[in-house]
Amino acid sequence: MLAGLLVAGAASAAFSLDGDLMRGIEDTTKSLDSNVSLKNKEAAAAEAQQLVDWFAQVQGYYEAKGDAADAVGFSRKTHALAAELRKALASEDYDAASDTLGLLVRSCKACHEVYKNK
Amino acid sequence: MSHHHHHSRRDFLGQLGAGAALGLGIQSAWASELADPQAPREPHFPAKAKAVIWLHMAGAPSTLDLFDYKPDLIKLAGTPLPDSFGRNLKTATDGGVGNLLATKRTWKQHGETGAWVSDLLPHLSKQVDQIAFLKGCKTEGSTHVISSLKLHTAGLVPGRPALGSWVQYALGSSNPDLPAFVVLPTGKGAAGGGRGQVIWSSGFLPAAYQGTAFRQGDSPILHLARPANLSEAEQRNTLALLKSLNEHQSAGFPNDTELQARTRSYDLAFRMQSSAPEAVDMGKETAATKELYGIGQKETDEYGTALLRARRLVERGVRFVHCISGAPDNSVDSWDAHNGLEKNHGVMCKQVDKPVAGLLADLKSRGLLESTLVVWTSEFGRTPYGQSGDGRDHNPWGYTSWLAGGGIKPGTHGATDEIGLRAVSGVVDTYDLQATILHQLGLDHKKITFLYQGRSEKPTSVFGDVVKEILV
Repeated sequence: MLAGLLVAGAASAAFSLDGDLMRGIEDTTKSLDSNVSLKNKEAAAAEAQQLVDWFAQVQGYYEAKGDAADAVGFSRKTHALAAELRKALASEDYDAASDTLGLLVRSCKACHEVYKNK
Repeated sequence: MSHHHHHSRRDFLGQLGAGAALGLGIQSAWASELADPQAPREPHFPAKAKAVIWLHMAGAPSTLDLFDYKPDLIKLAGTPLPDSFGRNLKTATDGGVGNLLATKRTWKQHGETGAWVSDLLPHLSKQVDQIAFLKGCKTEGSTHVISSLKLHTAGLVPGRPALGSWVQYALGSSNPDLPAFVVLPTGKGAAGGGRGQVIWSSGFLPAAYQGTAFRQGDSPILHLARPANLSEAEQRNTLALLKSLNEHQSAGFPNDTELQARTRSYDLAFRMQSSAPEAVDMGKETAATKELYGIGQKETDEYGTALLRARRLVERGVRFVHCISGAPDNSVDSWDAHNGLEKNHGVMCKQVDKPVAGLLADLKSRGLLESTLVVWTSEFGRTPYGQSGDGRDHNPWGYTSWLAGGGIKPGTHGATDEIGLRAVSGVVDTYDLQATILHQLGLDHKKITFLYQGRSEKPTSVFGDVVKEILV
């Protein structure tokens, strides 16, 4: 268990959940929305992958934090949506990608309702 | 339908030309790759509404004193804001958080829908069966300018197009003699912010899509009227000569549409010399219609005149009329009642109540309400806690807007908490309101796009969901 805590601690120390990251996610999401709309396959795929990576870290951060069950749920859902989005883009299904991006943005907003002002 | 326009140096020059003509409310030269901005375009799917009359209550009324009846707020009046309600609340204005302030209004349920309306709006209370109240509205920001930008442009900083500009961009004009997006500012007072040109700007869209502000009085557009020392025959002759010279020049450059567009703009300006004054001429309106809007009565004359103009403009095919409330006199600045709420809302409600009710009744009796979407909204609401002893502060967390006509189902959607501080159900963000309005116009907010600086921009940015629960 101690080893687990140390790993979690090390992970959270390397990863900072701050305003810069959130702005990065927001900017990337907006750019991704544009690239999905323009069917820019490579750029969209790269940004979807970036979101998958970031939300994996956000999920890990809250899981390690231990006192934010809602945030774990939100970040887990958003991470899964980012992965789904990546998959839709891999098959060049831009309508599905657009719909999934809409769900992802809603998930972000739902989490912010609870956590943004904390 | 997708509207992708690629910007080039030519577009930029075209927009400069359009910008130079803004004061005239006319289009200027257009580059070949830009469509005629006036040309009507098909919606994505059949529209429920042909036009929008957007009633912006600038300064932000306290919907807790108009529509959102909260008995618990009356019970708790005079006590501090309970922690359970104020948790995680960030207040940003100078007034701080005062004790809870009860509404002094008397309340009644009205119509078949049983909607609560206070005694401040006796005329509007008779129209509730036309109205869908959105009682779970929320937004961001706590300053008028930022929240007003978000309400009108879906951005928190200047530079994005107003909703009316997007509508004109997506649908063009159904009357080639009038602009498709008209703004009707009313009243006095500049306090409160968020009501200037920036909220009807076309932002990064071509300048021709910006709102055209009509002035009060018989001459709605500055410099549009023919100069007094120029007869109509002389003007016609001048324009005919200009047209023939332009066409002669244009014949040598058949692929250059800028000159063709310039010729069209002269034609439009000439036509607007008669179409715009006719659109605002009340001469043919009956005394009964004027009375309906409160025209001729001191408190309601100016605002009522603006709303009757709005109806006339909609009848003539204008797609988006943006009415901005000001104060009727110098006794108050706007709805922005940080203090003296009783006096403020007494004056402001008196100004808008009869005209807005008259507009709904008039549209209904003419069969226009079915195809006209009337929107009552503001940049935010006001807090249940007091400020300055007898006022309320800005509240972006929960307030009421409403929609009527245009395929909207009357009733009440959403709610704030027991004291009216936060939206807790049926939450409608400004992006959702915008998406819903576009939907009623037959437009998918995710499919209206404009390429700007390499990015495909949309009217509600990446946010927004249609509020399907209120659609017929």
